[in-house]
Order: sequence, then structure tokens, then C-alpha cells
Amino acid sequence: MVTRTTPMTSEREPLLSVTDLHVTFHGDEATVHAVRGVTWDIRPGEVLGIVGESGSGKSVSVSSILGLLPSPPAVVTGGPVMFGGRDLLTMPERELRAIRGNEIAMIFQDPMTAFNPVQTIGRQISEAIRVHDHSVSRSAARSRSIELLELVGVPSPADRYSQFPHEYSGGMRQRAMIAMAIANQPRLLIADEPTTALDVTIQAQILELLEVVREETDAATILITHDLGVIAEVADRVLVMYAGKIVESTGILPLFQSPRHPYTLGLLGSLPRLDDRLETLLSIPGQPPDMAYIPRGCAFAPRCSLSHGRVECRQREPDLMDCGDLGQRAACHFSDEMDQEADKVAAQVGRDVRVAKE
Amino acid sequence: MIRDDGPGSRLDMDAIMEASVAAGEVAVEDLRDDEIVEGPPRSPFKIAMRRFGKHRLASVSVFFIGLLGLVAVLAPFVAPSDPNAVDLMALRSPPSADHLLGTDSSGRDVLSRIIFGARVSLTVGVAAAISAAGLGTVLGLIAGFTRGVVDTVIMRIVDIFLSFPSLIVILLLVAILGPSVLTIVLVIAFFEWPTSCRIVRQMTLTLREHGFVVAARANGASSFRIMRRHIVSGVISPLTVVTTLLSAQAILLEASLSFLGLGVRQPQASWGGMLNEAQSVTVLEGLPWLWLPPGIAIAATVLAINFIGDGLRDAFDPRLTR
Amino acid sequence: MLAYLIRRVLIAIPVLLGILALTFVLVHMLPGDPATVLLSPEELMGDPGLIERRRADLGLDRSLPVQYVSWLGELADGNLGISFHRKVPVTEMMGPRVMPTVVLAGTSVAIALAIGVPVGVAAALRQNTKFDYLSGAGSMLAVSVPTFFQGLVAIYIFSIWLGVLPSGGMRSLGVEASGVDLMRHLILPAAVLSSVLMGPYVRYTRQSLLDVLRLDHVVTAKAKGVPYWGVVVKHALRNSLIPLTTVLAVQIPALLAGTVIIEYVFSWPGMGRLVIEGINSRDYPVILAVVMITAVLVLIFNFIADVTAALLDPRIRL
Repeated sequence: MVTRTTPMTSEREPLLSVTDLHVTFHGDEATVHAVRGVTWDIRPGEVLGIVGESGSGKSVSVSSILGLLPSPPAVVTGGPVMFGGRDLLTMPERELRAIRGNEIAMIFQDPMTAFNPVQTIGRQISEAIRVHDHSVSRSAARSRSIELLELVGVPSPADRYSQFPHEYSGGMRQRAMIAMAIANQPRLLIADEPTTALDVTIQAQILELLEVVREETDAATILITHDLGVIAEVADRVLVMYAGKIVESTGILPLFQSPRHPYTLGLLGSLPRLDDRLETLLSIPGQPPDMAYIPRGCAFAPRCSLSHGRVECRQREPDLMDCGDLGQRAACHFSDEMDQEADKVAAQVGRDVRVAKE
Repeated sequence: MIRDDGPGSRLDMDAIMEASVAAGEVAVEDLRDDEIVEGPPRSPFKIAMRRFGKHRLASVSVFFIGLLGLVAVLAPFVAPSDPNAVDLMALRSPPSADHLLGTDSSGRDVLSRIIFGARVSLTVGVAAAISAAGLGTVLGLIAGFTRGVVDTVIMRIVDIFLSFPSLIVILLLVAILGPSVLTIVLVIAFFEWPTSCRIVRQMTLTLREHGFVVAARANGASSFRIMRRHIVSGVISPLTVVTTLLSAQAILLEASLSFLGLGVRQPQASWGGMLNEAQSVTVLEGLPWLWLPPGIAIAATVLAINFIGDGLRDAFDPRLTR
Repeated sequence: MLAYLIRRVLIAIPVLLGILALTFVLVHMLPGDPATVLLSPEELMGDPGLIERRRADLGLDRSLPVQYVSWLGELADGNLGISFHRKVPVTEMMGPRVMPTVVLAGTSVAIALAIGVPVGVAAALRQNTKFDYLSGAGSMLAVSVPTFFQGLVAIYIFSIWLGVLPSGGMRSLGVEASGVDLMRHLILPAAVLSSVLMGPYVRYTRQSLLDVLRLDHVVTAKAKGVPYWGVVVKHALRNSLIPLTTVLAVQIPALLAGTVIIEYVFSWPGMGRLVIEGINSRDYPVILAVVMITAVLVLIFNFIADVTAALLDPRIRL
């Protein structure tokens, strides 16, 4: 098996399954198609990574599931998005609210701005508890919050409880954020770039903490990041997003061993490694498309090293297709040429960006 | 996202964001929205003008103020009679074919006086606002560019001026110096510059830290050239908004002065002065044509200018791009 | 917190001195010699050396900076000068005028806040709806129509046409002074003054709330499952109203300008009317006293606003 989850889990019912999700933003000047029909699911206990550049629609797609996007201008269509046998997109706001922060909790990118600056951290964690269970007394919520702060490794949690966000360091704030997210033992934890705003040394600690928390709560986790390095450390399965679509969906090992989409290969090439010299770092030429004016055909074609202006790429947008027997799927007309392409890149730069097959 | 519409565009946006709301913290969100919504590269000025055009009230207001300006300039040709000509046959006569808006207690044609009164209001509005904004810009640039002691001193002076009840001090100064359009303009400018000074300083401080100004300095451009080339262009848009709103303010001030009998001297026609005559209950009750038209004229003019200011602000402000 | 307060006071001191200096300069720009103003023409004619002696008595022969310092000393003793017109201390003239203005201004600010803030909140929560546009246009109209014209229209409609409210003054003649009578007299001036103040409150509240609603922590609160009104009230409104305290303080000069005109139009016997009377009778010390008091009030209220903001927003206390 390529995933770390047991065969039992992978055959269980998905915890959350998203079908054909679209998100558009209607502006004065233009309509932006941020998410253009994505379908995926996550099973209980699984860690699903979603990678892509900023603007690829990875954050927007999960925020839209929980109804967190401001509307207008955001319009969410498609679906259903099934969670526990119910469609999140058509569910009344009241019921969705009962799920938010309770069964599905989020960890945000910037712990500086994600906390209300004029309330104490403790009060905000307590609020997360009491909003879903009115029977919890103030003092009970308080002691539970202090426990949570202790669990996530905030030192002297009782004192920290009554401090304001600006009195915490960045790493501590993110710990508190995680404490708030797991306050109600969620079944699904969504971490949106949880380490991006942090110092490199803190990043590793937070990833470790996420792992600990996951074992503690047994929650499935969606980890959104632009950093393949982070994905490599924690994810079981990965979705690669580009221009609002999933371009590759794969287990963690095949992603690094045999990428099936040229964009994934590009991401691998731009991932620095310890043994690298600078000149062996590859960058993907060009810019991602303007999401208000997505070109015809494959959105990646203008930047693709595999396309060489082939007509097919410019004319028809590829669907996500099975390729290989490892459950790998990629949206590329020529994914069967990927092995040669990777070899070619390896020959050019003098190293193989793929991870050697064991 | 890289946009190649030249330097200035990004900054103009930032500039307006800073200036538009004194209390507002600019959310990171704005930048994202901006990136999402911007289409192919276009000149920021053109975008602003197009947005302004979409602001219907503002467009109508521009038309109205333009028309009013034209009427004011051509007053001698447009007005049905001399604003000071006394028609002894028609004292306090109600609106009629001869006098469309009636006549006042001295038998002067109200419509003609309204038309000539527009000259006073618009002159004061434009002249006072431009002088105040000019003074404020110069001091604001100096404060923002030198920083240090000079900045502190200028900003304290701004605080002092903002603490004064300007209407009363203006009343006092006009009473001392003697009422005339020139005095009124100077006195208003002298007390209304601090707003623009603050904004220009804030802008200058923000822009200083921007990449291209830093780059210009690193490339050895002199302070003065940096100031002229980059910062002035960045400051222009918020300044336009402020100047517009200042001119509305100035028109109101002049009207108040004249209403209190301390503005433009009689018999020169001014809207506030015409209302000054409406203070007796007799006039208020029996001769509404004497006080309603000038009141409406002031209100409409100030309202139109405020709408233009609002339209300009919206046009420059990327937050409303949604 | 204490350090913060001390810093605010230290910043306020040079501003206060500047305000006083500017007032002092204005005093000296005034026509009319304080040495002669309290003397009758007969006295002046009788004794040519009197003026010089008076000047020396009043200290007017000293240099300006010395005079400034001694003037500051006078102020500290509560001496605001002598009225040219009535020949009595300015403080004596101002005494009975304070309460009417406080009543009028206080009522107007209260009304403006009570209506303006909720309207601003509603406009922000229903951004780009009819209500939003209407309240925006309405507040624009309220600040664009001159105060005195609003006053005249109000008198025309309610006093002359409908005849339901008095057109001016603070109490009816020949009627026992009563709360109800005062209320009836207060309605029109307070309504007009509050309409002028309300516009900015609506706009600030709306913009400030919109700004806060865009912030990340509001999304966090929503993601926690906090109900809509909980998000709005606990996580957005409180944060967005902090800047409003400053707006209130900064508006004091405008408030006073408003009272000057309103009190004039409605014959309200307050400080504003005193200013107009002072200007008409060239009684400059009275005007200067009002100017100075206002400026000092602005400083004090700015300080209070700073303290309030610091209490509400823990970040400022640093």
C-alpha cells in the first residue's frame, strides 16, 4: 500500500466528499472563476494535502465548503458536498453553524490576524466551546481551555489564558489556534497554510504538534499548503491544484516517485533540497493565468514543457484521468510521456527531481 | 501577480486606501481582491475615471456644477436683470412673469441675485479649497519628507489648528479684518489646511517606504527629484478628493458667515446674505420665495460637490471593486 | 497603561501652550486698547498721563513674551479677561450660558449617536442595498444643507405652518418653567443639530464596521460556529466602534460651530449666542474666552478618547 492508512480505513465511507464544486467571484470589472469543478473526498483519519500556487483555488475551495466566503461576491455552485450523509451546500445556515468549529474545525494561516485582537485568547477558546454546548459553564469552559492550551504546549497555560493575542509570540499563537480548533473534538480538521506565516524553526514544531493532535483526536486532516516539503512530511494523499482545477490526485509516494502531470514535476523541481546547489533549482517559466480570462484548452499549456504548442493542449481541456495502477490520476493529455520528460529534465539539470523508487 | 502598468498604479491604490478612511486599517484581503479582480493591464487613471462614470449621482453632480459654473461666469448675460437694480413698482412681489422668483424688500430681482450669488459661492469654494490644499500639501510634504523635529513641530501645529473652533475664529478674524471675498478666502484657507496636511504627510510617509522610492534614492536621485517625480504623483488622487470636500466646506462656511451678517457686504448678492434677510417671522412666513431659493441653491451646490468627492473617493478606492 | 497616559499628557502640553499662544496673538491683533477700554472719555480728557499709568498698571508696557507668561498666570487663576462691552469679568457673563449649551449639545450628541450608530451598522450589514444607499444619501444631505437653512425650514414647518412647537427661546413667557416646556423648546434645535452630527456618525460607523468585517478574525469566529449576531456584535462591532471615540472628540469644534448657528437661529440663550452677541458688539475678550475653552475642551476630550480607546483595545496600551 502506498498510503499510510490501513486498507480497512481506505475502504470505509468517505468522511467528506466533494463533487463538482465551482466557486466564482462576481466583480464589477470581471468574473473570476476561482474554483472550476473539483471532485475529491477524504476518509476518516486520513491526511489529505492540497498543494498549489497562491490563487490556484485551494483555500477558496475549502472555505466555500463551510460557507465562509463573503457572498456577494462569491457564488458557490455544483456539489453536493456530502458530510455525514448531508449536503453542506444546501443545508440551512443554522445546521451548518452547528458543524462549523464542532465537527469541522479550521486552522488559519496567519495566527496574528486570525484572533480577535481585543479579546483574550482564553475567552476566544472558551467561546468556541460554549457556542456549541450552552450547558458548559463559564468556569468549566475556562478549565477545559486551559487544558487545551497545555495539550498544545503553551507554557503556564493558566496565566496565558487571560492574555491578549499580541502578548503571544507567533508560534504560541498558532498553538493556541490549534487548541481552539480541537476544542470540540472535530472529525475533520482543515489547516489552511498553518505554517506559512511562521519562522522556519517554528514550522517544524507546529507540524509535529499537528501530528500529535491528529493522533489525540483521530480527526481527518486537510492540509493546504504551497510547500511540497510540508506535504511530504505529513500527508497520505495529495491533490495538486492549478488554475482552479485538480491537475493531479495521487498517493504521497507516487507524487514524488512518478509525477504524472508536468506541473507537479515543475513543483518538485522548484523544491530545494539539502544536497542541492542553487543552479539545479528549476523554476516554472511564466505566470499562472489571470483567473478572469482563462485561456482555451489546458490552463497550464502556456507554461508547459511537455506541450510544445501541441494543438490538443490548446484546444481541449484535459479531464482528470486514471493513469497507472496506483490510483494515480492526472489531468494531462500526455501523462504517459511523463517518465521520459522527467528523465529529460534530470539530464538537463544533472539531477533527478524525483525521489528514487525503493 | 505581476502587472506591467508602470509604477504608480499600485501606489495610487495604496494611497487612496490610506487616505480614504482615517480609522481604517488596510486589510491584507484588499490586495488579494485587487489581484483577483484586475483584468488585463489598464491605466489606473482610466479605471478610476470609468468607475467614476458609473457613479450616477457623481456624474449628474459634475454636470450640475459645470452648468452652475457656466451660469456664474456668464451671469451678466444670463441674469434677467441687474442684481442690484431696484424695481420700486414691485417690492416683495411674489414670483411672476416679470420676476420669475419674485423680488425682495428693496424690489431687487431674486433670480438675478441667485445667479450672481453663485459667483461668490463658487469663487470662495474653489479659491479657499485650493489655497488650503496648497498650503497643506506644502507643509505635509515637508513634514513627511524631513521627519524628525520639523515633522513634530508641523504636526503639533496641525493639532493646535484642529482644536480650534474654526467657525468662531473665522467669524472673529473676518470681523477684525473687514468682510470681503478675499478676506473670507484667506481666513478659511488659514484654518482649513490641516486636514490636507495630515493626509499628504501620511501619504508621503507611506510612499517613502515603497520599493520604487527607495530604489530611486539608492540610485542617487536627489530628495527634491524623488519628491517631485514619485511622491507628488502618488499624493494627487487623495488630494483631489480632499480638495473637493474642502470646497464644499468653504461654501458652507461662507454661507454661514453671510447669513450671520458677517460675510460678503451688502448689496453684493450672496446666497447666505439673501437668507440673512429671512430672519424676520414676516419674511419667513409670508415671503418664502426670498429664502427658499438661496437655501436650496446652497444645499444643491454643496450636495453636488460632496457627491463628486464621494464619487472620486470610490473611484480611487479599490475596496469598492467588488 | 500608566506610561501610555503620561505620554499622552506630555504630547498634549505643547499643543495646549500652542493653543494659548495663538489665542494670545489673536488678542493682540484686536483693535481697541485694553488700557482705554475701561475708562470713560471724561476721565481720559481730564488726565493725559492716565493712559500711560494704566498701561503700566496692566503690564502692557512689558515685552510680549513677558506679557504672555503673566497672561498664563491670570488664566491659571481663572481670570479670562474683562468684557469690553459690559465691563464685567467674562467668567461672570459666561456663567449662566454654560448650562443651556451643555443641554443642547448633550441632547444632540445623544440623539445623533442613538440614531447614527445603528443606522451605520445596518448600512454596513446590508451593504449595497437600498437601505445602504438611502442612508448614505440621507447623511450626505444632512451635512450638505446648511445648518441655518435646516433651522429656518424646521421653524417654517413646525412653528409657523403646523404651529406645534415654539420657534425659539428656552422657555415660554408667562409660564412656570417646567421640564415639559423646556423639552418643547429643545426639540427643534436639538433635532437640527443632531442631524448635522449624525451624518459623520453613520459614515464612520458603516466604514469602520465594513473594514472590521473584512478582517481574518471575523472569519475565524464564523468558522468556530459563532452565530451571525454573535460574530457581528462580539467580534466586529466592538472593534469597529473604538475609532468612533476619537471621532467624537475631534468633532467638538464642529459641534460648537453648530451650536453657534443653531442658538442664533433659535434664540437659544447659550454660549453660541454669546459669541454672536460678542462679535456684533465687538466684545473680543468674550469670544476669545469661548475659543480658548473650546480648544481646551477638545484637548481634554481627545485625552478621554485616547484613554477609552486604550481601555477597549489592549494593543494601544503598549
